[in-house]
Amino acid sequence: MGWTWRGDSAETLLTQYPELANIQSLTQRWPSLAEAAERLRVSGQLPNVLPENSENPQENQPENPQNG
Amino acid sequence: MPDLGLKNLAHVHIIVPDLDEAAEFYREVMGFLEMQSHHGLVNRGLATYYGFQEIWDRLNISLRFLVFPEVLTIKLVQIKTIGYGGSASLPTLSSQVPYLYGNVGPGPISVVAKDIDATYRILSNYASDYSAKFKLTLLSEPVFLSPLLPSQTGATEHSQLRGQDRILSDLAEKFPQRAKFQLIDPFGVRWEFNNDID
Repeated sequence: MGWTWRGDSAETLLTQYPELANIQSLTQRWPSLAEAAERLRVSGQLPNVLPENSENPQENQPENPQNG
Repeated sequence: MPDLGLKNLAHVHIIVPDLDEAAEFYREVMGFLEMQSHHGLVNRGLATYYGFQEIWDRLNISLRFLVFPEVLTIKLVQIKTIGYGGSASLPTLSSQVPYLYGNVGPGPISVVAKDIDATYRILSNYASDYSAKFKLTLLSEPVFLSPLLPSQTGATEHSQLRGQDRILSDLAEKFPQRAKFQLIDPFGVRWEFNNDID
């Protein structure tokens, strides 16, 4: 699931990696992920793991030295 | 009809000469989203299931995942060789080493099996039956990948996972948990079977 980013298990993916819900560039392109995030938020199962004003987490994150 | 217990498509491998250049193409032209990378892998398990067990310590393998949401995940694979008088790209070695990929291009189709040992038993029994109509070449038994160093997993500046250290760390830990094996079917297509760890 998580390792290869299958799109058929968005809720499972978010349960494992709730941070994904806050990556706008990802959820904009991944409808089922965005829908699952909304469902989980409504049901209170999705914690806010980043500040709400993190519109572009990639710009707000510290540099990752582990470039691939 | 045998039941191989397949669960879903995992990803499709694409063998490329340069990971960064290929990733740029699949991002900028094809619209894939870049995810995690694993790089600098001199990894016995990884080399074994690719069929390179005898030269595993001479291969430096790097992987990068890109996803087209709801459609397909691709895994770019760059294989460099070491110890042959310097660094050589894969095509250079293709005439020297059995089972090396003959060229860059489509690699294995990766699927997830519910019970990889059961899947392997069915296919290996078929492959060892000399009266069977079709020839299967199994490249190894199911193997676990060797654990990664923390520095071997990361996200480039173009990755959706840039800065997501917890996710990257988790993905690195999962790396060796997926037992897998590959085969070549009668039509030259490589298949990769992954243990379902979800």
